[in-house]
Amino acid sequence: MKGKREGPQPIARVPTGVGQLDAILRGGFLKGGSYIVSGAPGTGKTIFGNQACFRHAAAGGTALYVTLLAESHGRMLSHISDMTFFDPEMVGKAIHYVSGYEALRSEGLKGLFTLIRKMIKRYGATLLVVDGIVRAEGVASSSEEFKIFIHELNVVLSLLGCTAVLLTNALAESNSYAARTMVDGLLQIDDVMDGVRAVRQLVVQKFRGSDHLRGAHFFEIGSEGMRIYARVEAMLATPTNLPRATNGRSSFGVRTLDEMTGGGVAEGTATLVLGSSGTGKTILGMHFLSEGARRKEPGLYFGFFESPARFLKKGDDLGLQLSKYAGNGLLEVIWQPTGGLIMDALAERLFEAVRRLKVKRLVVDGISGFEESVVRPERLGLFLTSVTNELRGLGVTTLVTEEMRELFGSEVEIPVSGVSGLAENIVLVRQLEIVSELKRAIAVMKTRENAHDDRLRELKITDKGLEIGDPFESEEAVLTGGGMPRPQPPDGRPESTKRGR
Amino acid sequence: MKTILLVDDEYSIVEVLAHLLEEEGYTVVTASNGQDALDRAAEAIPGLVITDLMMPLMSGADLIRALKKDPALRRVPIILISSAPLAGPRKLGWTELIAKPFDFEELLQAVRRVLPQGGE
Repeated sequence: MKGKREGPQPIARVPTGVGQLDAILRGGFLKGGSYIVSGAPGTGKTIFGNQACFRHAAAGGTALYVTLLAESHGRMLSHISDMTFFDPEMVGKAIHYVSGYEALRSEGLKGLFTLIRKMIKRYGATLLVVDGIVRAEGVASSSEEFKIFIHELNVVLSLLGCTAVLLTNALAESNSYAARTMVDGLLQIDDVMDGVRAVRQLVVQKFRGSDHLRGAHFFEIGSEGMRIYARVEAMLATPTNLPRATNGRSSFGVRTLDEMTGGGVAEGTATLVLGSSGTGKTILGMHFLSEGARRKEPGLYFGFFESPARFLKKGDDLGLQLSKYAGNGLLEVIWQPTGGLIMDALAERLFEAVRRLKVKRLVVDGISGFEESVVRPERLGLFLTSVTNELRGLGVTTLVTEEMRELFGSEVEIPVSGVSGLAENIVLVRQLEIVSELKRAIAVMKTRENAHDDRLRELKITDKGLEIGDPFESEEAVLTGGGMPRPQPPDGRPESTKRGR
Repeated sequence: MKTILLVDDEYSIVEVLAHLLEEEGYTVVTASNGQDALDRAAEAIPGLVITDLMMPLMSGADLIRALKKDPALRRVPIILISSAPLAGPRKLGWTELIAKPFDFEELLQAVRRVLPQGGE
């Protein structure tokens, strides 16, 4: 007598091959399961189904694509032939296209069921896509008959080790309920308007037998097919790695600023550089990256305003040798033009580069690039917190710039709510009018794990980059942008220089 | 040609498995519980019994006990399909055990071991 296994085993996963959907589903579909992908016409269901088939075949599986629509397979394939996942060599070998239209029309659900069962077995299919299951629903005489069809399909899938994706428009209410109770998972895809912008989103409404990332996840359709991005604050709710304790400091590469911060900021922390336009925030980032590269610490500039060529030239003109460091792999510049981007896609590109280059220093220039790509503004604070926590876990020292809206004024306001909490360190740079003269000033407002010099100092942009001068000691209220000379005592010395003497 | 007696109270599983086994060249007789299976076995001795464990009226375990007591049926090989803990059923006298969830290929391999000459 032979006992083959002791108790139920975990069910194997079948990767979907569709962007980060596998991360959303914690590993992919469950082998032998059935999943409805529902969405209005034009939302990308057919691309989803075909992409899943080609990726499955590329990974060594065999796919069966059953259409219940009048559209020919040739026409459908011509629509996806420009997409990078498409490989004509797979068609007829590892991916088999079968029309179920005639079997359904002449023999109803029973005929379709028999066809699917025989085709799965004939081809040894491990992935089944049924495109247009709404047609099958249409020929069912009752919701009970449709339910039985789905149930028997589930039995076949389980016995033959085949995973099914059923593509459909919205089903009729009664049949939809029947189908929803019978399948292992429900994925809803929609094209929704966000102001004048159209965005595509996916929601996993049901996923039997496994945890998954709930809520909306956004996706794009392009030359790579469908790219789904897991919502960052859901995926990184817990950082992949915990931050390590370290005594190391990351020098800014600006001598006086390093002195003000006790040798730079703590390694693995985030620093917010806050300032109005033209105050040298990007140049400070260049110093920071150049100094890191000089110490053989790989750096990444992730910006929205400067193209790579202009960024490198600007740094070279200041003597920071950025092109040299870019050439020997110690610096990479990624430019993301704003507008139309998905915030989660930006995060994916950022982390891809951080992991690939083993980045130690990162400059994100600036937060407004993320702000302009956000579909739900209320996400931004939590999104940025999740991103910076993950960066801390990866040991990356991050410098993030953020533009203040007011050039001058009596208030220091951080434009994006929740941002101040994400950074251990805050550096303020701003323009000042002092006795009818325009000057720049820099101050360290906050540092973690270290004391700092919190005096406001003059900041100059020279042909060698940033230079920081002495503290403003003879003016009052310079931080508010309107410095006035302090009243001079009778002996001519400023009041501040007399204190403590 | 030897016949497989397939016993399961879940109609759709019996239906699908019967089709799949027939496509492999086997003749399949079906029953929905242990008592039904004994009645079918009394009509014609099967070459193999494939039975689920948990069924109404008469369980798979009771069916196996009944088969083992019957001199005419005691040598018929049995494949037991079960998701229950294995310690108890192990003593029953089954030939092969398939744990749920299983796939058809796994069952087919077990059938081929028990009936090495295939359907003949």
